Amino acid sequence: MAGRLNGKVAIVTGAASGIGRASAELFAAEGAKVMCADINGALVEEVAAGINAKSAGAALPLTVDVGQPAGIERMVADTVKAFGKLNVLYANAGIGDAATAESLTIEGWNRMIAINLTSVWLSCKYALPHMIAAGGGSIVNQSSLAGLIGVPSLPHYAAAKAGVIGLTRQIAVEYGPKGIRANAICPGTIYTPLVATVWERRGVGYGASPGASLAEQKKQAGMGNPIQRMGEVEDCANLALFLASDESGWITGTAMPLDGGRSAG
Amino acid sequence: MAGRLNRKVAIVTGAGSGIGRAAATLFAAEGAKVMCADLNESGVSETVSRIGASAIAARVDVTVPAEVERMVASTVKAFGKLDVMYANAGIGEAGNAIDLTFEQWNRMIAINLTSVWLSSKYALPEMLKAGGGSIINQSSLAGLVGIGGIAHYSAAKAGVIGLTRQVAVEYGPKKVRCNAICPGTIFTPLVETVWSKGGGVAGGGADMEETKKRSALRYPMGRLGELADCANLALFLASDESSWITGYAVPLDGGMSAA
Repeated sequence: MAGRLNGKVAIVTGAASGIGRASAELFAAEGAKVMCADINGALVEEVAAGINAKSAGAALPLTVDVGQPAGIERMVADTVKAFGKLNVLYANAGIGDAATAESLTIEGWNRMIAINLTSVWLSCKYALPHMIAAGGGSIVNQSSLAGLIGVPSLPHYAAAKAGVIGLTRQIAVEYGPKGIRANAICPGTIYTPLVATVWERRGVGYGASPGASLAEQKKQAGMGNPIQRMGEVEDCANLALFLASDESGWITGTAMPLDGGRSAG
Repeated sequence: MAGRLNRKVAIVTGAGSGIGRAAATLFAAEGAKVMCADLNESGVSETVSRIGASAIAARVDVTVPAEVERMVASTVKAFGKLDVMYANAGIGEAGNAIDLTFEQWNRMIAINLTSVWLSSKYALPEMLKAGGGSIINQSSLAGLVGIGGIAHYSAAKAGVIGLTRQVAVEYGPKKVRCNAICPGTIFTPLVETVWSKGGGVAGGGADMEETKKRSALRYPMGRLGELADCANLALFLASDESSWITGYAVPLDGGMSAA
């Protein structure tokens, strides 16, 4: 099969659920070897087993807390040890939370920055030397629509995700001459465990009426986008695949809105 | 074969050479039926003869409303519907804001901006009938950042981005998507025209090989774009893989606009 990632080795963080899981599965289906990393060890083992049942040896599970530098360094080292090199990093792991700039505590702020921004830099920090050694690579960093435009209830999340865009552009410019690309994906609302956490803490989904059923909230949240639906995990996995593959070999430093047109309006 | 555009019908304007020819060829290889349109009749015939049975050719002046209307109508007549419009046709010309003549300005706006609107104007009703579609408009890095020596080109290409966002917002609820591609320098006949008169990111010059080298160094990735870079992006935007992406002006520039 002419897989779009044949011969590539990829790391996907946050691979136990949602977008990370869908991406790890798609990358493997397109021919990549995938290190599936997540803090939830039991779940990520299931994901890797599911991938290996379809293409034996394509996936490895790893329990990693991306809030810990040593864990990230080990994740990269284990990947190169197991698969011989590293071509693609999808730094997707992250958490959701809801607060206002007034109510947010310093602990809440620091935890968000550590997990949704510092972890992305650390993933790049340890991946870059291997990509340089391999003569190039593609880094895909998970940002958010909240990194592009203001969204209610997410001051720390917005700051972290906009930070990811700044970091991505900087890495693109600095490591482009070494054949390394870096792009950020900026999804609007895709109903994943992360978004479920945000909605739960906010009490309601974006653009949705308080008291509406979850199904109704999802529908209402989707109606705020020109393409009147919420995103699906496959929408994000497809974009990550395109950015990971050589098809996007001259695309770098971009922050791609994946938002059904929301940020165009 | 599981083509990424199986059962889709596409129009590619400017399909007689360069990016348009590469995109039409890739779309067809991925399963689409393709109307290849160009003002250059021999160029577009050559494109279609290379592709084979899944493509047809039309000589079209994209600045003439009736011709664009006819292009869409003959596509639907031949292939039954329209799913993808890649409004890629355009010209290159050097000229700064002082030296440009009124005629040069109007010609550039007509060919590189008005034609893009006309392509949407006549494609949209067919896409609405089909229950959705994907419009891809060719903008430029010059639509995102200032580049020397191409005042009218920059205005037209930034205009394409404005139009693209508007169409995306207005027709999104009808499942029509609209995105723009903003390529940096891909060495095509269009770029050669601009460079020969001193335009472009490296200031042009008659020695094309030397200008290519200087120009490539301006891009973080250290190379110019290839036709395949643009065709691959157009394919992604044309396909259902990007079905939640709309209203976006995608930089295709080896990182230049990030710097």
